[in-house]
Amino acid sequence: MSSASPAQPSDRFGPRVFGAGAEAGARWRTVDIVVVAVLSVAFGVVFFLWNNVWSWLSGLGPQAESIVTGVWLMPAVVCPLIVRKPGAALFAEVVAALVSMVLGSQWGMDTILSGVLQGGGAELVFAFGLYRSWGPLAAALAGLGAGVGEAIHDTTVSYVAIDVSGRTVIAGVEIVSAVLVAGILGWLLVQSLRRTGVLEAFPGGA
Amino acid sequence: MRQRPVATALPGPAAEDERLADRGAGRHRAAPAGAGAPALEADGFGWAYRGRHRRALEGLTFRLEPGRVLLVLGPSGSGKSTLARALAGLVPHVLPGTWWGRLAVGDLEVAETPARVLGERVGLVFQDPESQLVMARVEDDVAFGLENRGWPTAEMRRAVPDALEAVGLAGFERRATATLSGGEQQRLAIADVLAPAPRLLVFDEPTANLDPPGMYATLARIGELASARRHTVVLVEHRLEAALPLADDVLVLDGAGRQLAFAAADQVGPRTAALLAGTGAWVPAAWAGWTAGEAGRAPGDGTRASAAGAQLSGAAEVVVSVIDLAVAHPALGGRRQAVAGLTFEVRAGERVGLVGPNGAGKSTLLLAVAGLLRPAAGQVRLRPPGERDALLDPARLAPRPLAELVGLVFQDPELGFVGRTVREEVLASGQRVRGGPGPKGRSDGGLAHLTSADAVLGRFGLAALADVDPFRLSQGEQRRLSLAGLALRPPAVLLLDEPTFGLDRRGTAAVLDLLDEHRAHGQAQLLATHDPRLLPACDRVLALADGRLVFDGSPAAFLADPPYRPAAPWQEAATTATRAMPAPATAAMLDARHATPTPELL
Amino acid sequence: MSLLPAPLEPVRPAFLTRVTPAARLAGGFAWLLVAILTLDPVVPLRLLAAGLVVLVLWSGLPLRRVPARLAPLSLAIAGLVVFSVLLSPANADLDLPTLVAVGPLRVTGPALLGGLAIGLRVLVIGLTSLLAVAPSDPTSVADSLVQQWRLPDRFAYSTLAALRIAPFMAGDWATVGAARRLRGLGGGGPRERAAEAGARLLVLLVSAVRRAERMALAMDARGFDSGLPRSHYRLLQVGWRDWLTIAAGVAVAVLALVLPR
Ligand SMILES: Nc1ncnc2c1ncn2[C@@H]1O[C@H](COP(=O)(O)OP(=O)(O)OP(=O)(O)O)[C@@H](O)[C@H]1O
Ligand SMILES: Nc1ncnc2c1ncn2[C@@H]1O[C@H](COP(=O)(O)OP(=O)(O)OP(=O)(O)O)[C@@H](O)[C@H]1O
Ligand SMILES: [Mg+2]
Ligand SMILES: [Mg+2]
Repeated sequence: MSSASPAQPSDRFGPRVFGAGAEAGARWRTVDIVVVAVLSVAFGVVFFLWNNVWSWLSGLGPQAESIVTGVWLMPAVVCPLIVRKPGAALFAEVVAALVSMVLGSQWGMDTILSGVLQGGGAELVFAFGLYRSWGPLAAALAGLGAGVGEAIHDTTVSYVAIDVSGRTVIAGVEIVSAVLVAGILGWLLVQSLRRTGVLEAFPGGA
Repeated sequence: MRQRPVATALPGPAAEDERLADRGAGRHRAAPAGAGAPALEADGFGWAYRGRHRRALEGLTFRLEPGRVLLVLGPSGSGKSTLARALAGLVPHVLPGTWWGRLAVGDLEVAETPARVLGERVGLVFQDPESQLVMARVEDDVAFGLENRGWPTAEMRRAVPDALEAVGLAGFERRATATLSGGEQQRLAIADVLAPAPRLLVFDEPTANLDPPGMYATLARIGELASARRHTVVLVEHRLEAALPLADDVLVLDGAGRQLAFAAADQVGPRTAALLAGTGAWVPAAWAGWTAGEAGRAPGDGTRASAAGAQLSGAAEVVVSVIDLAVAHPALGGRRQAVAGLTFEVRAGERVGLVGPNGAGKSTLLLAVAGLLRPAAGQVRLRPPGERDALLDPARLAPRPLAELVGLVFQDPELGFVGRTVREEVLASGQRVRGGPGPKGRSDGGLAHLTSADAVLGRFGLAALADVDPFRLSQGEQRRLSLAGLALRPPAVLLLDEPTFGLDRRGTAAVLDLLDEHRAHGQAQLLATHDPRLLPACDRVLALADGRLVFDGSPAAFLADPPYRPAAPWQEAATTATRAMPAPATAAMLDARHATPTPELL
Repeated sequence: MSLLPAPLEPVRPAFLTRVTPAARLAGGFAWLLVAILTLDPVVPLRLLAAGLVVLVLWSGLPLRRVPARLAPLSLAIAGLVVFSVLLSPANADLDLPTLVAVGPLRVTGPALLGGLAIGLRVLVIGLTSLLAVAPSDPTSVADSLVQQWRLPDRFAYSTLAALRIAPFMAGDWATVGAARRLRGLGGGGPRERAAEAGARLLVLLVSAVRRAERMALAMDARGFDSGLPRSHYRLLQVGWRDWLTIAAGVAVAVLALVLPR
């Protein structure tokens, strides 16, 4: 075994800063991937355990049910606001869809399809901001994007048999819910998370 | 027989002191072997995490020869985990921060070597199996680390069974990791890091979550690996009685991450023992004779037995009454009962220790006593303070009266925080006192309230942190806060799930001090723990096995004849410091000098 | 397993359990597509029949547990059918004969058929997903998608790791609720309840982020981000069964679509 090649003295003893700005940029660190995956699963688990919220809503019909759709879109806004990487919205929403599929959700494989549409909608909005805007407006618009994706999916797959005015109402309610719940509430949630200091390792600091 | 290489401390202040202190021991360390690089070499190594003013480690300077076992000792927050991460290259290549000096693993400079390359050399085992097992099936989990490094499939097929064999898990290949016991999971975690054939194995408190048999089994595996001398081993461990016999060398860190000493384990003298004791860390029983004062005594020393203990038996009223209780853990689908047929009482002013193997049902029982799980059969009754006859069913109480009656400190204090600041967290219990809901109640005597909250914070050493978000506190601080939250009005019944988990000696003593105080006011305490060192601090012990009560009696009787087979792990794990060795005067002096309590209690 | 429903797993080896998940998904997507593209009840009915045959003969799944698994689906379907029927545009068509009339509401034949078609469609999607996914464990699904469809592996395996700890997070959620109840919180009016739910969610997310960070560190310690191409311990072999599954899936989908009604 040869002994260590001696490092330069300045290297050896001077302070060296590592990883400055590693969280910025488009590269996904392991922690970015895992945090998005785990948060999306956490959302899925909570919404599953929270089922009493919509079990009675679905009895009131699709319009009432679509009031809470925004909740399902939260990962698509919250996760990108945390890791700030291209693809985060899409990845988060697909994972969320997988979770609800694994937990025996209503719609099965079709949730993946809707996950792609919803995540894709939010992703487009963040991409449009060149992945540089992460404020409340961007969040609300991302919620809007996800809501539009959701509305496109639902009006063509689930609610096709309903007349146009009914579908318009559903789409409208879904989009408004997406903006308010996923967008605005999602942004507020991330702000609250920041205050706790758990987001220190991510862009935007804590 | 192969000659054991000997540790060499680089000349440095700590090493110098050690030589002085151990003069007369008559043993001399061999000069550096000259041939071959050391397995590990640190020279003025220091590290500060980004955003922290304080360095996590500072000025580490030592050499570890290949094949030796290094035990790292130090109080909570002394940088033990940070050193472990640095050896695996996670510091600085994954976690950002500032680096000083040099650290080399074999011929690799950590600062210059990508984590990928270091990772092949170094295996790192963490504390909790939940977060380090990745795959759902045992063999897949072992293969995970090999796949990451692009090993050919044929080689993996050979390496995976070998690694499982080495930790005694041969035949477990197809098992689901979720079905393994805690001890088996930790052994799997060791197999995971063994598979890529690293030269250095680093263990960061690998037994923290395990019952005594699991702890001994895991440490025994580590001991076997170490005695084969094919690996160099770095071990961070709070349970020193079991770990010290494995060690060839010890590295002692102080609360600020500075090196206090580096020495061969069998040459540690009074000086090192006293230094270690002064930091508030756990001190091995074997060294305790050299230290004086608090350190010489385990926190669970018999002196803590309740003053009222003797006359308790009949006089004090029964506060907790459990009759023929059975609980089906919701996690078990309501089918299997996690505990069954439990009957016992706890009296006012009594502290009852609750022990049992992993999965025996300790946590489930606590939840049921707190009224958070409904019994499948039998009953739980609690007596509100001041009431003579009324016994209430906690499961039927509204949140507010329930909160006045019972408190539960969870193993992870974070999950129980309700305030946005440390002060609010304490005030949350104050609002309970007045019974008035939030904002409206705030106007009445709000000022008096605030001062009492601040007084509580002061007592718990949290005054400086009053306006900080509770989630930003360190683990020890969080645990203190969870107790402080119950201090404005201590509930009649306090339930604690592993309240000393991950705490050092001083932290453990501080928790027990607080508990002593509440108990003196008649609080009934039920304390679940894996650490039999705490048992002597209890008035009584309840032991569970497989959800059944198998023992109800005094701690002494439990330790004399534990109801588990084999019994030895339970007894040995309770080994408390003995004072057989007279404390030399110098050591006592040193101890007095270094043991000045720091504000960081836990 | 946990507070979460136990996954449906095959209890015996069967044809579909020997097929790679990617092939099953490919075949399943053909059904999904056809089901989504048609508006009459006949096509989904045919697929449903075919699906049931596959379920009974070739899936290896425990038949007795399937209804419980599809139960949440049936609730959703019932709601969807009722509203699809009631709100169908066909009801406004006065040329169509009235089937049922309650007050101002009126239901026509085509509206009823349309509603049924939607219900059947959702049922078919649910059953198809079951057949595509349930015959292998999630690990095999991930392996298959990475090896055969070249899904990015770091993302796939991180998702798998995250799914594995879902039960722990469900446990955390319960613990947070219990802890808050013991601090005297919970109860009260809708506003308190909403605030309480939000606070509880926040604590859960904090704990989830910390879990994720610990996991990521452990994964990095095992070379997850080594930058080397990942190899595979379990190599999935694509065989005649896979091709047969895809071909049969597509064939059944096409037949269901083109056979005369
Ligand atoms: N990821 C991190 N980011 C920032 N600071 C950290 C991080 N990890 C640890 N620290 C800080 O570095 C110091 C040393 O922590 P470390 O975890 O290494 O101590 P330890 O000796 O392992 O303590 P314990 O016995 O409690 O496990 C502490 O002050 C801690 O708060
Ligand atoms: N989240 C869970 N998922 C599955 N099983 C669980 C869960 N929690 C508890 N159990 C089961 O319930 C039983 C009792 O568990 P409990 O947590 O009460 O034991 P414990 O004595 O506290 O164990 P430990 O010492 O490991 O904390 C065990 O059989 C355990 O496997
Ligand atoms: Mg540590
Ligand atoms: Mg427990």
